Amino acid sequence: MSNYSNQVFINCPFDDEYLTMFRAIIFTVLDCGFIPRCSQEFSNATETRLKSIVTLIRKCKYGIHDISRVEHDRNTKLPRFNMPFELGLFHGAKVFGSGQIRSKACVILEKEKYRYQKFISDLAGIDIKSHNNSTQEVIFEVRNWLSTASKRRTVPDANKIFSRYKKFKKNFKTTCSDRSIDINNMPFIEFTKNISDWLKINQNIIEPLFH
Amino acid sequence: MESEKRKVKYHPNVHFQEDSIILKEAILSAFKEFKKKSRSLEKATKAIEEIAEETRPSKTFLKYIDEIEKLPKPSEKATKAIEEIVEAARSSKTFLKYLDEIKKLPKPSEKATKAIEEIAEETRPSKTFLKYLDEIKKLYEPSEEATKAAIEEIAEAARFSKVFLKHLKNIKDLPKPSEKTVEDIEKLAELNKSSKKEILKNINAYIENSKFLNETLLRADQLKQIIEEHRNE
Repeated sequence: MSNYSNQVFINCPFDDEYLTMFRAIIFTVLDCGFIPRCSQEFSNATETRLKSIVTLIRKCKYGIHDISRVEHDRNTKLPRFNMPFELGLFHGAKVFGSGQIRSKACVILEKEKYRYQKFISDLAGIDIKSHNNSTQEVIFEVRNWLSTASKRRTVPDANKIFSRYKKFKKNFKTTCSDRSIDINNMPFIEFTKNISDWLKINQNIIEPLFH
Repeated sequence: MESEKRKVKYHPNVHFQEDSIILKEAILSAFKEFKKKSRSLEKATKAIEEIAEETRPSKTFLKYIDEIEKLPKPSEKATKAIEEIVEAARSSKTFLKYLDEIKKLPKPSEKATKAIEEIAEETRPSKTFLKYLDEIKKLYEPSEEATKAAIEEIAEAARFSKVFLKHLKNIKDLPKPSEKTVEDIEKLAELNKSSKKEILKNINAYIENSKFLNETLLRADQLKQIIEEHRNE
């Protein structure tokens, strides 16, 4: 578990509506020098989903939990419990685990500041960050929390991350469009690789190759 | 504030065998940029080469100049001696012809150089020679008539000297300027119209400073020796 302190577990909705926010979080985590992990990366069909999630939580020191999507699902008309459940798992690991597992740290994101109290009042007293469904706000919140929790001085400035994210988004959209690639259906790992490459390319050269 | 750069990391399950779309695009973009720069560089290089071709001497010319510069310059003594001899032998048609021949000669071959060295060894100024030189000088001074007589005597002596004729033959046997040399000089003149003065200056320097003058000196010295020998007979 040598990379334990670099790994960030992302527990958030994976629907199309949340995709922009999800991608902004992935970008921020990578730009801050961490590795985003989430249940979308599983390919091993033999393992149960829950087992995979537990394994992933064990590997990650940090956790980002967005509980903003608790509304009824459009198709099933039922509420989604995955995010609160995974948040509970993460919290349980920290409380009942041993060794470095106990050093886990997480941030809880919500749409509005005190809304959570109405559906998950157990979290009262815990600092929850609101993003108002804004990519800029979610980038700022995630960056500031990672900087504080990790105490790393290498975490870039929030404005710089946001500026880079906008540039990346534009470049990536154009590039994918030119190659007739469906940007919305790109697998999670492939997407992270594109971000890592983009960040590497644009940090090592004076003039960005993408204009 | 960013106090130092963070290290960008990759997801542990990333397949590095396959390039990402971003990387492919970056490579393509860099390639296009390189191609664009390369094209403009090619244009600039061509233009520079054209200018250089027009304005600077060709490689052959530079090589030729280098060779000219390497040639030994005649010493003061040698120049003086040549002047004396030319002055003395002005009326001798054979001597003038001989001088003309020398001037026409290309760079001496190894064989010729060796022959010249041998001659020089043979004709190294002896006490008698120096004495003879003094006598010649004295001859110039008294009267025009005496000078004329002395010159005639030298010319006559040279004309019948077997040794002189032998060496004259040697000189004649030396290779004539090759067609290529002539062609090179013509080419140089053509190529360097703009620096014609410079070429002429260097060609003059070549003629003035070349080994041929030293050969002249050696041969002239030899001639004197022959004359002396002839006199003593």
